[in-house]
Amino acid sequence: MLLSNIETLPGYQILEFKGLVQGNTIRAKHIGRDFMAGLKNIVGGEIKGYTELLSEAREEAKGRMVAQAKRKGANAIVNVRFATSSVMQGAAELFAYGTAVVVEEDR
Amino acid sequence: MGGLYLALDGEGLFQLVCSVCAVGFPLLMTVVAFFVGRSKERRHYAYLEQREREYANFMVTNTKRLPPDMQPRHSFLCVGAVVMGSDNFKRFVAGFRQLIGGRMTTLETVLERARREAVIRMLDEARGMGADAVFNVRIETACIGGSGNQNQPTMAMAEVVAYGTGVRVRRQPAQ
Repeated sequence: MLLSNIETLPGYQILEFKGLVQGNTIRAKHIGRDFMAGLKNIVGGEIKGYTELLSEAREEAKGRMVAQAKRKGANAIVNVRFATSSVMQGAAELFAYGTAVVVEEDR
Repeated sequence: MGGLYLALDGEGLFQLVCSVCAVGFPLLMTVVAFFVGRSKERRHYAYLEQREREYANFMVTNTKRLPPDMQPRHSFLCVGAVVMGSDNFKRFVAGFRQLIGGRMTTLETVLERARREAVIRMLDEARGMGADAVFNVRIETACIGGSGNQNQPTMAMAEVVAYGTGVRVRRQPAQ
């Protein structure tokens, strides 16, 4: 599955639009990571545990979006957007959406 | 003074030790955070400068349109993310700023570092996938870890995601 966050997919031609596809996931913080993050937050800097956690979650949201696009018979998604929102204390929602399309390589 | 000594038997002493700890520990952590946080920040800025020089000639834009002379061959999504936290000292200073208003310089640097780091990670991914340029770069910031509880200080963490479309250009065919 090819992804792009522009309306087109450079190097490819869009043949058909299959509509909006989206994927989301809500993740709660891990108790062990939470404790370490609390300690890290005294001295600041990157909190690697959370970076990994949110990246994994984003991959999952992307994966769900891709699965939906596959079901629609698309081979690419254009204009992909990511959004993160905090739904409740200690949990974050990762959301990805885009337009499923059928593309063909430019000649 | 005599009265104070009298009050310091048993329970009184215990309470005094507790209150000294309750005030002293956060204060100590703030002092530690000032020195450790400052050195971490300096090192991070040095790292960012160095990494940004590596990408000085890499085409990165937030426009959607490719230059007309560019012949794209392949494109893909590139993502870079980072969660950056502030330290106790920065939050302490920001807390004062909240009372009198003005620039919260201590927190500005946290977000600036996070954005630059996220962009560099995105570029690392782009280069790893063989991109020659990245178009339509979007940077999004989400504040996480804020506690709803008034008595508990917020953790003041921000997640920054940078993403864009990496484009690999068509090489000139051998003639």
